[in-house]
Amino acid sequence: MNERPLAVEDGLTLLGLRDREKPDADVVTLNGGLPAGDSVLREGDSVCLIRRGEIPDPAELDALMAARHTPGVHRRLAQASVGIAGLGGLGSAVAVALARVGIGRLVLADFDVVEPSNLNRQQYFTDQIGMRKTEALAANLARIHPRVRCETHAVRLVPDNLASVFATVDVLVEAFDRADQKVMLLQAFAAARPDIPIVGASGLAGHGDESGLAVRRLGPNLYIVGDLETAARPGCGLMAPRVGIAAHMQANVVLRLLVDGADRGGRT
Amino acid sequence: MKITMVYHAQIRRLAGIAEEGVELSDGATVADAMRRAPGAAAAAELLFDAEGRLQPVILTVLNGVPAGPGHALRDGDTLALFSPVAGG
Repeated sequence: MNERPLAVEDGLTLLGLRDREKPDADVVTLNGGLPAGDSVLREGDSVCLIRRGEIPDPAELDALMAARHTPGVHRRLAQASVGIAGLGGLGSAVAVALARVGIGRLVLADFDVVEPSNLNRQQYFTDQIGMRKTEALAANLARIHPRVRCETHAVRLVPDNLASVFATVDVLVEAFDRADQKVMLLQAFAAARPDIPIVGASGLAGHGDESGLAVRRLGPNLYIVGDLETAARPGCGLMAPRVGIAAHMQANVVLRLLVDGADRGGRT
Repeated sequence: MKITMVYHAQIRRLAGIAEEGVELSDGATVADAMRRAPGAAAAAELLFDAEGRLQPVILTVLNGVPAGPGHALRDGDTLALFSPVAGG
């Protein structure tokens, strides 16, 4: 019940279980679906009792995540800290993916505000237009997983502040828009913290062949996601699907690094 | 000394090769290698501006670690050149 093992007596029905364990539940699911009516529970059934609008407490959410991800993986993710430089189409989607799997701490940096044109790919809402991206994204992530701690920096990242902003991260995600800023971040952070893996991106604009998107490992701690070639330009804009694929590839590299270590990278 | 140059993405296309060995004098830097290597010369329009300065959109990766153009090279080094493109 609710992702936790529960022993019940033979003959107990679904609604009998609800009345006993969570009588205020107004939604009941059985084995992943809405049942047609009441029925006797069988060994191995999975039941979820939900009260609409009720936010699970953090301990309950953690238990749900641990059951999904296995306790060992869940523990590693919950102890991890990930930096995200730039909270646009890539960075906001990476943050949402990592928050959903229960990363312990996210360090979010961006000097910008949410603009209407951002909404075709970035993880913000129309009522957040004009807000700082750091503030808006932290609010959205808190709704997804309240236990994830967000440290926000509404600053322009430059070589002199990179090491202090991302002083305590296990992995850094490069999610800038401009090519020269990507180079600045990759070079300056690698010089300051060569021990920390960086997961960058290049070549994700338009709606071209998604099979060209790949992870390439350019060094022991340097990963680049994308097709490396397709730049954002007039007639080839940034759009949610392809940017989202690249962002989730970045997030998956982060997971691999956190869970499996740095020994498995992309092709060179 | 001899180093290996590796070219990625657009630079590889302009260079016409994926990698090459280059002989350099002792004390040569990353920038020196980029001016000396035939493959890099073929991609000069992407690597350098009209005044011959390294473009800020070129990532230079020395032995797997991003390193600036003034970094000194040693025999046996591998220098990779990569040009990230805009979008994020």
